[in-house]
Amino acid sequence: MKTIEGTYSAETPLNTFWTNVRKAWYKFSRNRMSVLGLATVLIVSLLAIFAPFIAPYPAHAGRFVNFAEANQPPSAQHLLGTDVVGRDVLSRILFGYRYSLTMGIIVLLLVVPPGVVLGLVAGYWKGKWIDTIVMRITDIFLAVPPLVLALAIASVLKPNLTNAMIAVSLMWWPWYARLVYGVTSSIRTEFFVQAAEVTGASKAHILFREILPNCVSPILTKISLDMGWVILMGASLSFVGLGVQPPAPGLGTMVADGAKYMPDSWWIAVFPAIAIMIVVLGFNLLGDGLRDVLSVEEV
Amino acid sequence: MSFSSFLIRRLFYSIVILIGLSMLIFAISRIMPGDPARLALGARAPDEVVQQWRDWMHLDDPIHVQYYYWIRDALHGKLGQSLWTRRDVSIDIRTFLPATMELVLFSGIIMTVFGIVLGAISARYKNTWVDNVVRMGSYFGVATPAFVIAILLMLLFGYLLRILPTMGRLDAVFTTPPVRTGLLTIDALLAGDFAACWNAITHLIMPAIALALGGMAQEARITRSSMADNMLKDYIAVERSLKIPARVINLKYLLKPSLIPTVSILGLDFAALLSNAFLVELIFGWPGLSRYGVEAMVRKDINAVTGVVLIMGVLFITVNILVDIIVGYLDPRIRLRAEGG
Repeated sequence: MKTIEGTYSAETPLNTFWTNVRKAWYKFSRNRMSVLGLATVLIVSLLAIFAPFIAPYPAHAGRFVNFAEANQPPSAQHLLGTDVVGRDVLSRILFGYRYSLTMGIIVLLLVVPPGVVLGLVAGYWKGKWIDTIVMRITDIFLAVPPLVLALAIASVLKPNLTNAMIAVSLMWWPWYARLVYGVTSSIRTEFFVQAAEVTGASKAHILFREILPNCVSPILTKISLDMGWVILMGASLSFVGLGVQPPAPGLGTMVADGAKYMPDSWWIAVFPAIAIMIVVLGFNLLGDGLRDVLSVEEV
Repeated sequence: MSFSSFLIRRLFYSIVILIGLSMLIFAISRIMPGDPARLALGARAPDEVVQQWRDWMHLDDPIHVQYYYWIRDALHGKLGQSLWTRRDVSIDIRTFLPATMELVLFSGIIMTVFGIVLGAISARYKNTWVDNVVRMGSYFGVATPAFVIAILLMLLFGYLLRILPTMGRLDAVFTTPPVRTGLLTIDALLAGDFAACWNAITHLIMPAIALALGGMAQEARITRSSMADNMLKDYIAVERSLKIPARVINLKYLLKPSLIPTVSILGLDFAALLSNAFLVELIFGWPGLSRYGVEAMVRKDINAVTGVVLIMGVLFITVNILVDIIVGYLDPRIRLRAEGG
């Protein structure tokens, strides 16, 4: 007995935490694709954060014209060429990543908390009126193809980045509600929940301290995958003209503008398009890796 | 409960969802800042005219009364006038929907057939180079937005190789065949105009592939993993030991049950098809409902937007019902559960 008590001394919890992290990293790093995803996400984030210092021509991200250097193909001076008014495409892509990542982070910040709370509440009171109301509303939102709904909402508002984020957020929360609902309704009859109920724990304690920790893995995985999808959705909105407004460099806006000058000035559209692909792929690979490490099946 | 009453309940539930959806769309159309009447008639319209328009659209009534008028008209097929084309939205939808249907059907077929075939091949030759190529390809397929694929395809096949047309549904030298189904390829065939039919197909290829690739990659991944799981099941080992021909095992006992997850996500993939059609039609100048919808959205043509979103919702709900029926057919457990209780 003594030895057993001795093993679980005060420093052990910390120790097991780091051991777990190390184990998780070992498992994660076995999969080369996951590591590639993580590296992509890190690099893109760093590029976005330090864009003003890294970009060769930071001024080109805004209201800038230089017709003398317009439409230049990729060269040593302009690695990815220049657009029709002479702005450096590479610089604009780096600043475009800033808008994309900002949009992803803010939308998920707006969407995850209400979605999770609604899912918890509806799942815990499964079969009650609150479950019916919440989940039927969820179903209604999920009954339209997501981009169509986001486009419709964005179209009635003023076209800008804020409203694009509002539009995407309004149609994104149901996915989290449904995810958390699934987990909650399946574990709400487990013994540890019943134990908390019997000992008179408050509903808030049961929902947030007993049930919520069990939803963290799927939520984290979904957040990682969704970063890519939200960025894509933002790019799609700005492609149509309902997102980031010119002269600010939205990646989707750049593709849409560049498409007009194909095939002669192909680089104006193609490089921003590839930039979108890279960031979405990165978050996808990362999310897949997390899914494996955290053994999530629901997402 | 029999399978048919399961279906009836499913249909009833879809109607409830549809009513909810109509309320949601109506709400979206009324959150627009500014006076819709002003927006429709322009800043220089006299006040009396604006008032008349407000009366005509019931804009001064309480919101639930407005919804009543709106849904009553919608049920009669009246979706109001488009502020952009100045025609009835229902007529516009009838004009533009067939082109979108043709594109979505064509790419839906490409998506499902190639997705399942690639997934099955990948699982059959698991861990060989074939499998690796398919898996790598599907990673890129899933993560590449349809409009990026559209632009790359257009550059490659439309401009560099010049083997596929980049715009529209039919070259101008061909006369449009008489409209019967609205699907140009089939109308041309019915009219016996094979050259026009072929031309229409060449126009379809790029947009359809751009639309299909994402879903195809997803289908391939899911088919592969579910087949690879089922391969290790005991009943397959039993069948092998009974000397049942490999072809029969693979197709009948392995592929069919493995398709259940594949078909289950078809609904979601179809949603992606409809969503992406909005961008792909814009790129390829495809005169379909999605392009009409985007133009309407950019112009704040509220009647057209609500009409298009409503139709998209109806299409999507219908596809999901079909998916449920097919899954019920493939998965006897669902049917039995429905019959048992």
